[in-house]
Amino acid sequence: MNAAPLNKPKFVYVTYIAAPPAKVWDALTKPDISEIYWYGYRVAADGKAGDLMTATGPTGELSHRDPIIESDPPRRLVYGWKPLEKDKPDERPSRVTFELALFKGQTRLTVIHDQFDEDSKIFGMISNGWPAVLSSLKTFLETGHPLDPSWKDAAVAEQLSGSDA
Amino acid sequence: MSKPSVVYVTFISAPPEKVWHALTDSKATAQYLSGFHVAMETCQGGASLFKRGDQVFNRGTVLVCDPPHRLSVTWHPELGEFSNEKPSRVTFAIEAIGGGQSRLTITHDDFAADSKAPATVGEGWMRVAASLKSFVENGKGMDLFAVFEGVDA
Repeated sequence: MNAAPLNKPKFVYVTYIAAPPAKVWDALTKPDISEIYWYGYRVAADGKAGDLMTATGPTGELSHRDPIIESDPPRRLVYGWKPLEKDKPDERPSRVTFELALFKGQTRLTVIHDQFDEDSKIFGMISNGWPAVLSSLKTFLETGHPLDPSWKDAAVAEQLSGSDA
Repeated sequence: MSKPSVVYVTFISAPPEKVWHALTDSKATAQYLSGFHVAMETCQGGASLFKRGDQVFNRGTVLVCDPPHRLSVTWHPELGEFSNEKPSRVTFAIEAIGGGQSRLTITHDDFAADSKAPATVGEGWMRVAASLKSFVENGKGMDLFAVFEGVDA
């Protein structure tokens, strides 16, 4: 008899960016670049495995201080994920994996966010947040301008409340 | 058990009208589908064909046509392993999100029972979304479609 299937939430998102993997890698790991497209978040993730990934939000509040689990520039980056803001649910750390592959001179970027508990509330937040962040990343690398975060529609803003993902 | 659906969300720096045009105008689709294009007849009830030159790869019918916010078409490949299954459904939902931007949600659902299509169609929609976004934002589609099974690149 088979064991019950695992049903832990796992988020997977793929996008293609007209830029080489090294450019995408820099944008994902350097705070001066992330601040531009990641809606004001300064994400520092250019260390080695065992170092820390840190992120601060637009107000300067510390948002992340998570271990870098793997770093193989510009192909693969894995770090832990535990939002530290006071208004975020207190859950065990999850895990984010970035895979960058060269595809016909462009980059195929895969983001896998997993290791959530079954009833995770943060999972819903990041599921809305990553598409907004990664869409802005693509726009920024292809046009030089990020997406505009000043969403005017209140319903959309509600859905995007995890866009600091 | 919930029925399978494939959902892909992308945010685009252009208003819904521009995204709608890119999805429905034959000449526009040719700009970002690497040699393929979409030929859509009249809005409601017409055919929506995915073609390369004169060859039809997918023969869809328009189910919902509500410019510039909602387009729903059947998905019925002419070739390959899914050509004998009942048509499934693809819906493009386009919402204005402020700042002259849009959120495009592509949902592929209503598959035949036990169809293996849900496990394989996602990659194609990711590529369509990525290339469409680039085309709408900077006029340049991406080179993502030259390799298709059974098609000479």
